Amino acid sequence: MRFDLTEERRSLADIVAQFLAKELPSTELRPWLGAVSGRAYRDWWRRCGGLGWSGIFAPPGTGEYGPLSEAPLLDAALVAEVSGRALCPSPLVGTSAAVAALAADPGTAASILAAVLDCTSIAAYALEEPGGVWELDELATTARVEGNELVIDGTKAMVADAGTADVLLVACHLDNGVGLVLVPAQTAGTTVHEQRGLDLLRSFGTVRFEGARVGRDALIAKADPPSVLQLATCLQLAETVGALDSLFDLTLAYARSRYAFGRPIGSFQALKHRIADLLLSVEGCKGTVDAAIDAVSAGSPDSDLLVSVAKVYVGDRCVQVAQQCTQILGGIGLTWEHDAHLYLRRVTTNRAVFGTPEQHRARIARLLDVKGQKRGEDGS
Amino acid sequence: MDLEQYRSEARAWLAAAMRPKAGLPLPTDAEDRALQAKLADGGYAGIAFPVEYGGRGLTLKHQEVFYEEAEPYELPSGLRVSLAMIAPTLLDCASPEFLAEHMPRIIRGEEKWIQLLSEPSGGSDLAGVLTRATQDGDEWVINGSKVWSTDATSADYGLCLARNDFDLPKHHGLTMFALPLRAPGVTINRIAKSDGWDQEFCQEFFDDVRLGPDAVVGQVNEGWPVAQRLLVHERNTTGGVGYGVGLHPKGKQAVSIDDLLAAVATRGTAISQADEQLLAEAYVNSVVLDQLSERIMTGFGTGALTGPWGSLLKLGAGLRNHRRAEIAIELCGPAAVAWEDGSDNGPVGSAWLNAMVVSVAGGTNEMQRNTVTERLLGLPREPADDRGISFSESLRRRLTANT
Repeated sequence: MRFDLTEERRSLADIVAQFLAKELPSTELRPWLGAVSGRAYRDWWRRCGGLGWSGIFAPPGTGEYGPLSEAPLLDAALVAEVSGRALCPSPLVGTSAAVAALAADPGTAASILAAVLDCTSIAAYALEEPGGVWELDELATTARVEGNELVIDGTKAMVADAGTADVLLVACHLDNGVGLVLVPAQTAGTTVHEQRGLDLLRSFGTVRFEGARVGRDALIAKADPPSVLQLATCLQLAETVGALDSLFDLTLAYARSRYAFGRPIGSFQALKHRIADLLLSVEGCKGTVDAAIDAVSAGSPDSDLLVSVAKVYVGDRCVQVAQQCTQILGGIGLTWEHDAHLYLRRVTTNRAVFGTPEQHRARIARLLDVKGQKRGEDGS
Repeated sequence: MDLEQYRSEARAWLAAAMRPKAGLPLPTDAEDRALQAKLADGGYAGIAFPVEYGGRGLTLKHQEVFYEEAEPYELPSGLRVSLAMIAPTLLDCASPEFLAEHMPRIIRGEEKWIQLLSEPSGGSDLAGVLTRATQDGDEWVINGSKVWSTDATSADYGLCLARNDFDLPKHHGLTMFALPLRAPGVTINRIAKSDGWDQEFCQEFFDDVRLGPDAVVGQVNEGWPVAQRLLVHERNTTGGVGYGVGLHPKGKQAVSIDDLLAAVATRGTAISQADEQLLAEAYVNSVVLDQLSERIMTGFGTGALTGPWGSLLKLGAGLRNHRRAEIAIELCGPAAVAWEDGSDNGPVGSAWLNAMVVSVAGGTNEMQRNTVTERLLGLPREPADDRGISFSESLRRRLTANT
């Protein structure tokens, strides 16, 4: 967690942590494995929503929901980090993306917004496409205007909560660029296939749109797709940091309490030195994610670059840290019974969603213009 | 003083008083000292040091702000050890009389100090020093050798850790001395690094160097705690935090891959996707280390963090520098190992040959890993065979084992 939290944010973090410690201790995670869908999931999300999680990005004037502060991304990231520590199943990212998009255009779909805010409706962010396509200008899904309707064609993949979602926030190409369209999951021509996945505390699906028709007002015209993607990526990064931090803490506790050859295994340099490197990675992840969140929150011109920097660093390091923690935990870390694999599953999944480190390195090279193409075009 | 007001005052002063550094060579030692005196005259030296010792009595945040503003200007380049490592150590450990005499001169650049810690026989096991301090009436007589000191040839004083009592356990018979480097009996040699020209490091020999009683920093037999403070300040400085904040070029201006792009250009072929991956990796590694140092500075500022977090940054810098040099070699391909211009080490040879300098100098990566895990995470130490016995006994055992 960052060190410069305001009093309000500190107490927000405490409330979330206390709620999860009571309602979702690690022993209570087991029933959720492979079962993050349906009625129980909806009920659980309604309880989380009761703490305000669904409404962090709500526009002012939406009743009991609404922003906790002038920097809602910082609040949401805190919730993502603390709930990430507990591996809490939740549609926080999809909900936040949908609410933030709608908040930009409060006239659109007021009833859908109200249902998402009071958690009677679950929203999913349908961005990625098969083959690891996540950059907005590479999307192939289209929304074509026909009279008063939009006709959507294309396939989305890696859609979190696809199987449960009532409404999909679909990024698609329109005549004049990429837009975000709200598509009820029941819309004719919309087919959801649940996928099996590595992360047992989250469910993904593919969504195929074959001439799916929605009203033209389903387009959230004033929403900014790049901002929504930045926001979703930041929340995912914060969640990964929480999970990593938690796994590192439990590994450290084990290194202190497990004895071999008459002393704690954490006293042996072979493990201690590895632990020092892990601390460097974990703290580096916290530093870079905070910096990305600050840049996005402030609308800084280098926010795309800093989000990609964080995606590269966290993506690379999170899987190394998780596997090294497993090594330090030794035999118990290899078991189904221990939670280490749940963290490994979570961080490995997050690494691949919203762009792999390799894809973000290519993006950084482009943003830094390493080939000098932009300089060439300018004639400078 | 309000930071933003301080910033604008500093900006105005810098623009009026200092020269932009663009195009200028690094200052010589004499120029360093003149520049530091100029900063002092303007009220921008010893920003976070107490007023009674010639400082400005402000915070490290003010120091950071000043150096952010000062980045485009010509600044002293060789006084970092003196100002950010030695001066805070003296503040922690030296007597008021000692501070009153030396601190104002250090802050003005009139005295330049270095560290005299490592020895040819040991660096990581720093408390195992063999340099001997023998009492002779009121005076101390120093004999031995120190090594890896940066910039000794241009410095005035060294903070020298010496053993005055061999019958006490390793950490207890040590005393820290202020040793004038131009005193009779001091010989200073330069050490060429493996690239053949960089001579940053020196070795010193002490033959019956005589010091007065006022040369003791702290107390007799209490040299080790002084050395530990010095190490904390050294690692903070290397990491760009603590009193070292701002004295290391950092921030966005410093994170550049222009050197790597220039190196690639010598190869004469287009940048491939694989090259892009490496270039972006180098960029990410440097940016994140800055972001981590920002996080740690914030933690120090709010009081959430205490302890040697500089060691974590030092470890990060050691790993980053090595990887960056590795990336440069990889990017350059054959152009890294054979070239036609007249340079000695080619486009990236010096960086490659010196890739491990930060991983070794100022405490190896391995020692930082020990510090980080023992002092920040509270993991137990490895057992040591020289604990609880006199230093002379451990020397005897060493000799027996080697025969």
